[in-house]
Amino acid sequence: MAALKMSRSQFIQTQNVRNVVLMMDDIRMDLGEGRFGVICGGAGLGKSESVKWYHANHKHTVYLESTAIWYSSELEFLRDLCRELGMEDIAHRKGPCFRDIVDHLYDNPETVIFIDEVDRLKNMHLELMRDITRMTMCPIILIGESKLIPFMQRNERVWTRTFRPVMFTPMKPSDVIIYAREAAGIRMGADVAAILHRTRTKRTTDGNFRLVKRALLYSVQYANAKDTGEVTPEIAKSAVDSAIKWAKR
Amino acid sequence: MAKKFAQQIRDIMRIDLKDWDEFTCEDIALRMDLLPGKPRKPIYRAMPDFIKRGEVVRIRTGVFSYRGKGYSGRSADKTRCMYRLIRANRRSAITVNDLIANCGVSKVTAQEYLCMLANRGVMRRIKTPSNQPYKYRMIQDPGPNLLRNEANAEKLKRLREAKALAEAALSSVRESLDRAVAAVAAIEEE
Repeated sequence: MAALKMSRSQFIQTQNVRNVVLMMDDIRMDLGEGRFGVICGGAGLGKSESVKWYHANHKHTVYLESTAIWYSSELEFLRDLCRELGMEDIAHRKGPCFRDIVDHLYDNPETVIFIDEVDRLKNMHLELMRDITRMTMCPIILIGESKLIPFMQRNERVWTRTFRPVMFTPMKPSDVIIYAREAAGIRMGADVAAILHRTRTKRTTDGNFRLVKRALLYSVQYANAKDTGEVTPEIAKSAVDSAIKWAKR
Repeated sequence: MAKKFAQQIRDIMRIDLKDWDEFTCEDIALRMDLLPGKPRKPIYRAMPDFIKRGEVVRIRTGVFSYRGKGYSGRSADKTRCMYRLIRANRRSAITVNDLIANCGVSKVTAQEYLCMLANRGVMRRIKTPSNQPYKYRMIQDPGPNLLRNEANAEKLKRLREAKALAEAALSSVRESLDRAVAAVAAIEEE
């Protein structure tokens, strides 16, 4: 029996990724309409991976990940943004930094800015972003966990400028089947997919991408050890147990 | 407003399956969350319309290829794509497989590029236990301007020049041969 192999070099386009692409298509159609895009959802659902993939494959996009230092200093946020926009001789004061960003974006109106982990920032950062998008018409896409939406809703001027949010949902059983097929070449039935999908722990919900990935990896290892050439429901159950062992402690 | 069924199929074909040479209705059905056992008839019925419009070509029975226009696909070139992904992951480690998966480059290209960055002191290679692939971590951020693999570019330039020379030589040989054939034909006629 040929051994099953798990490829790590596959980017699986789930429904969530498709929703991001569609939102970006819509936003790009509306360039010149300064606004916010929102991508939010729980941890481990692939938000950042999807955005990094989109950023890597599309010109005129800028990706920033928020840092703890931004929390206490808006200047650091502005300086990091300047750096990502490719500016040289970055100013050391907020005012000149802000003006440089606005001038740069006037010259490059097709730029789209992605900012990850926004939910840990303060309202002042949102106000700065609002000014940037309002003055330059360049869209800013904010990425964060579920508390991002209430954080934005508190500031009505920001919320009314926000494009329909993309909510990342857990993987569906069909996504598990696609993932198994593309990453490991396994043709999986709905019953096995349902078992792998049910990687429930106390803290995580069904369809957590990281857990499903781990469970599938164990399934491939067990199937190879048993030389079955396919993932049976029993193997899938054992794999799920192994995948969430850490959470049971 | 809910999307029409045909539009859902189109979105799947132009986004999810854009790099696929061929696909089946089953591939679309799974992406529409229609698990095995659920009816696929609506998809089978929709395909002839796509074929009629020229958006889809039937390669053989049950196997299709998407030809629709309008979706630009991957716009950045592959090196730029790799560089942007590496910088986006500069707070964590990245592997060759990440580059292959996200940028659609070959393993050799990804390895060469990461090695070049490591040699320049931009990345550090982190050894991992036994069979695990190497991880690379950015230790010095060179900024958003693309770092090209100059040695590779030089090699490609030399290859292109050699190819052009070879082609020129071949065409001159072809011309000489044509002249010789014509001369032989003229002698035979006389």
